[in-house]
Amino acid sequence: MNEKILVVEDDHVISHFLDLVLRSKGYVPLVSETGFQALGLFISETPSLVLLDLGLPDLDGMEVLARLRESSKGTPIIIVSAREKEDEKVAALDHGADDYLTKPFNVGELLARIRVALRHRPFPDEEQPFSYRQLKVDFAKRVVLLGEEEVHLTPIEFKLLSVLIENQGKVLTHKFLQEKIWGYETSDDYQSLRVFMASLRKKIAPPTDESYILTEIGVGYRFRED
Amino acid sequence: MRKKLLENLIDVGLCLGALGVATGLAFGLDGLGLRPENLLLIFLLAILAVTIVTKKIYYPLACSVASVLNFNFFFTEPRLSFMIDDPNYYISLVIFFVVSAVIFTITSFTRKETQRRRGNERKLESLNNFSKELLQHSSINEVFQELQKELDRYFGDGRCFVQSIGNEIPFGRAEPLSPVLSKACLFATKENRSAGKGTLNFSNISYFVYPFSGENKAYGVVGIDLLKQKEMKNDEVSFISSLCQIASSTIDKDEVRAEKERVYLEVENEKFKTALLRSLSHDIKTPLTALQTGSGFLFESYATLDDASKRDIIGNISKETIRLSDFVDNLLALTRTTSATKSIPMKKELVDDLLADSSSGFKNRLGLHQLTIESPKEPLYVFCNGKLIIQVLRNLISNALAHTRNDASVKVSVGPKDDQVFFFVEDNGGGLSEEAKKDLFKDFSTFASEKKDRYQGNGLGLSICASIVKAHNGTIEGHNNENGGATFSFSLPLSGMRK
Repeated sequence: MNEKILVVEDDHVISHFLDLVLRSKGYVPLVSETGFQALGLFISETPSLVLLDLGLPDLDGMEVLARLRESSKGTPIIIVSAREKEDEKVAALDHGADDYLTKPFNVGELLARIRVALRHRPFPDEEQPFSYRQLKVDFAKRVVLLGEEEVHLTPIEFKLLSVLIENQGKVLTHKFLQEKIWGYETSDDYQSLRVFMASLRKKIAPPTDESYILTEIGVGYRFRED
Repeated sequence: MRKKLLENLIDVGLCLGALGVATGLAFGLDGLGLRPENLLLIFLLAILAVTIVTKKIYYPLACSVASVLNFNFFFTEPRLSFMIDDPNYYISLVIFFVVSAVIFTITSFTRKETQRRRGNERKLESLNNFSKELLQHSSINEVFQELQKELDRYFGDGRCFVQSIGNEIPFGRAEPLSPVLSKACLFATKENRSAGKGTLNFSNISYFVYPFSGENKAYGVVGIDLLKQKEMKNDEVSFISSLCQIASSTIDKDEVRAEKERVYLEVENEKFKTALLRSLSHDIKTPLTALQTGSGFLFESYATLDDASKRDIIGNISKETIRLSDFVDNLLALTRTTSATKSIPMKKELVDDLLADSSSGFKNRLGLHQLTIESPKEPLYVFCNGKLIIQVLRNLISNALAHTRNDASVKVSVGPKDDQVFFFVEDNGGGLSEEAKKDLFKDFSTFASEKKDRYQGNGLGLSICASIVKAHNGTIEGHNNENGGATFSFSLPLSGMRK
């Protein structure tokens, strides 16, 4: 393993804590307290993942995000920020961030997001049926089972579910989903998308468990990940 | 020029016509054998008519001379000559002259009077109209614009401008004023008197400029192009002055009102801030104490504690951090609802999304509690700030979990009714005491100002719910239900349904 993680965070307590946590999980953290230092480290060390705080002393986090994306398209970037406004989240996600975690955050949650971002799983895998708790999806046969019961999905619902599963654990913005499913933007606040999502969520709702599809109002949706 | 000539020609025609008709009539009556003195009266009538219909003094004068000659030539003996046999006629003719002069004087006097009255009526109407317009417009710019429109209406399009102080381009003009005109305006505002054509200062420009000011400061200058007019007439100056007075008093009133409002808001804000800070520090202290003592104890006696106690303390610390984090969410919600200058951004949100977001994350807090969410069968939309409504739902749910028996069940449901959507959070875990019912949604600043310590934990939560729902034009209430528990409900305006 020993994957390098670049931590861009100007608060000592938090960066120290992150350093500790990441080290204990076998990652190699590289801590940077400024945006410029981070950009330098990113090029010299080529980390596998970046944890980026948006409030930095020298550069705005969004600027750092843009520059990181310029030098590498593929490296996952997770925003860890106290900025909690939905439009700021959406802006970061639509500008190339892979995920967004608001402070204060839970360590377990952070580690889960890191795992998701580092996972290179080709999904949907036509060969390999997907299974999560009571949900089973066979992409080749287009069959969805909840427990023992078959769930009938419309083609759009199935496509939505596939995209969510493909990105399991990652938050997907309305814009991203809209473009992925329909291929064009809309100006009606994604009403169709939301109605399809509500219907899909209802159809695959486990009777005795929490919903598998998590909703973040104003931002988008995420398929639950343990 | 041609127009004037035409007018003169028409007047001459009218005179000739009147004389012709009078002469014809006189011949007719003469034929009937009437005495010539009576015929004179007919000519008098003709002169009266000419006085009324023509505009210049010399037409009726010329007509009376012509009438005398006419009468003399045709109707006095010897006829068809300007000789007069009977000396009586000399007297008749002199009297005729005097009478026609008197008629002329009286008529022209009344005509002038009517003209003046008409002008006054127009001015009055204009003033009335202007004050009526200003009832609907009160911002400075609107007042200036209306003033300019009204002046244009009165004096004719394009002749007037209204320059407000600090504005480069005056109302009624597309470009800045010429340098000399600007100077005249500046002079007028500084000295607070009129300037330009017909006055003592800047008399070489073609404009008449008049300053107007409010109680404490100057607002601007109006300017009127006098064209060929030598000076602004007195009555017109006082008309302009009245218009300006109406305008400036409207602006004055508006400024005073805005100032009052600002002071009031400031005071209210100050009160609010004090109350808020007091209650906040109280709210933070409790979890902070738990964190401090817990972590301190753990740090000091780490070696001597057994694993079970350590876990217990850490568990409590973690619970308290959740409480603090909830608290911060509420604080953020509060800052979103109470910033007086900005309205809350709202969007059409799907009720399903709201329920799904607000109910997630409670699993670890449930214990033996049961939480069920009943989403509506049809897609319902409400117009709201999603984040804030989720905060309301989360507060109600966590209240229900915190204040009920630990095996109680909590149900969240939604129902449209008329043009409202009602959200319900029901439990069966004991219900509200009479004491609690009284103060459920009481404004927390009232709580804080009462300085009572019973305001604990989530006092902030419910009052924030109330202020959020209020900001959405909804209602919120809580009562005891038939299942031995409490039901909290709030409504939001429905913004659409889709089959």
